[in-house]
Amino acid sequence: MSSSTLQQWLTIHSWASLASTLVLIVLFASGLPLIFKGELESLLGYGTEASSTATGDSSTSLDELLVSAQANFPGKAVHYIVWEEDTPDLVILNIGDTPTSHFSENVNVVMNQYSGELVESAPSPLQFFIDLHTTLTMGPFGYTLMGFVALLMLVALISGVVVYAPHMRRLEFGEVRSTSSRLRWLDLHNLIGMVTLGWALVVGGTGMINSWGEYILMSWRSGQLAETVADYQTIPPPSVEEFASLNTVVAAAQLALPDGELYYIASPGAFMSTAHHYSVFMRGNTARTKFLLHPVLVDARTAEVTAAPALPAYINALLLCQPLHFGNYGGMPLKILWAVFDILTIVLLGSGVYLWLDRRRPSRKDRGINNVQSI
Amino acid sequence: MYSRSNLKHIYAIPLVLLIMSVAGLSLALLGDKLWDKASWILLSLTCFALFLRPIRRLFHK
Repeated sequence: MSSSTLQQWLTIHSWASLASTLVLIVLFASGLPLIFKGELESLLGYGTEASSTATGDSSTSLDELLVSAQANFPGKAVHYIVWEEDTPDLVILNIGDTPTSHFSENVNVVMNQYSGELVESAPSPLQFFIDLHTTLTMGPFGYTLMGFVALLMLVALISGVVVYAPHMRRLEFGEVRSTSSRLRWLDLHNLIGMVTLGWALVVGGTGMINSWGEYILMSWRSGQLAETVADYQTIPPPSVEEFASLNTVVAAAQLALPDGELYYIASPGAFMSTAHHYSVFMRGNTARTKFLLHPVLVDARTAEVTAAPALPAYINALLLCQPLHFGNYGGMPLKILWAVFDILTIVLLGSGVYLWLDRRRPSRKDRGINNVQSI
Repeated sequence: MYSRSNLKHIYAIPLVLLIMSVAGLSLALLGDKLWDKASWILLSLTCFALFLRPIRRLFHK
């Protein structure tokens, strides 16, 4: 590699890093509490009343749950009903102003599925961090912006690997020189960069894909989903009064996919469904398949299964990007390691800023020579 | 500018770390228990590389 090529890589590394550093520091700092979201929420008392108020074998029927939700939020539309693995007593209802409102404008409420009581209608105590981390509190535009920031991060990482070589020509891996503060931080920057490289590439790559997930899902909606329900194009969509019982809808979906585990239901009109169907998303019941989903499209009028198409590979890849970004798939030790890598990446970003600010400041030795020359 | 042996010398450990961390991140996705533990070990070893040089120096003293 010629020195001019190397200089070009250095320029790419500097500017890709500088353009994204401030946002990345905010993202990694706000991501830190989100690694322990479940633990922090229960520590702060969010949703814990739910588990204690009522538990048991017989759950309230889903239809009663919907009636209860509509009584608490009159005039609003339930978009999604979600069952989380770690809180089996609870269901999360995603509610919007209209049946087709954008999901970023919707609110989540937590209900006890045994008693049908509303447990939490307030947002999570970590909602600020969630908004900051996903959209920088900028709404839907924030998702797109985050994707570009993640792309810049990947460019900075790859160019960082290229410019690592000239620094390490005469050094052993991990050597940190202490002759000057700049050299010490340069060596630490290189060392931390190489240690966190794999994690940062995975988290940055999956973050970029997650940020642009809406576009990927839009392509699924206009492709596979539209083709599957093409016959419904000429039929007017059902009104809420015409909707079949949700219990019957779920029973039909479970009959169609008996090995699946109920994960969430998308109501007619919601982003993950059609105007004519409930989409019942089932997940696998093994460690290997629990992140992969299989939708069952159930006619909202008749509760008959229209289709249960396997999702295309690109949607499965998107689904796998979520655990790989959040680090919530390998127990507490993985979360702790995730936090360590996160903190190391913040140090990496901070040291990069320091090195850039310090780039033209003459070293103490040079200053000494200049002083002697001026005398 | 760089010979192949030079590049090998520079990138050998970073490449091993990259493989270890990507494998560590992937293994926990494949299953629970043993897979999780393998993932924790590989990722911990990757972090441990931060202290490779000071430890090596300690033994050389």
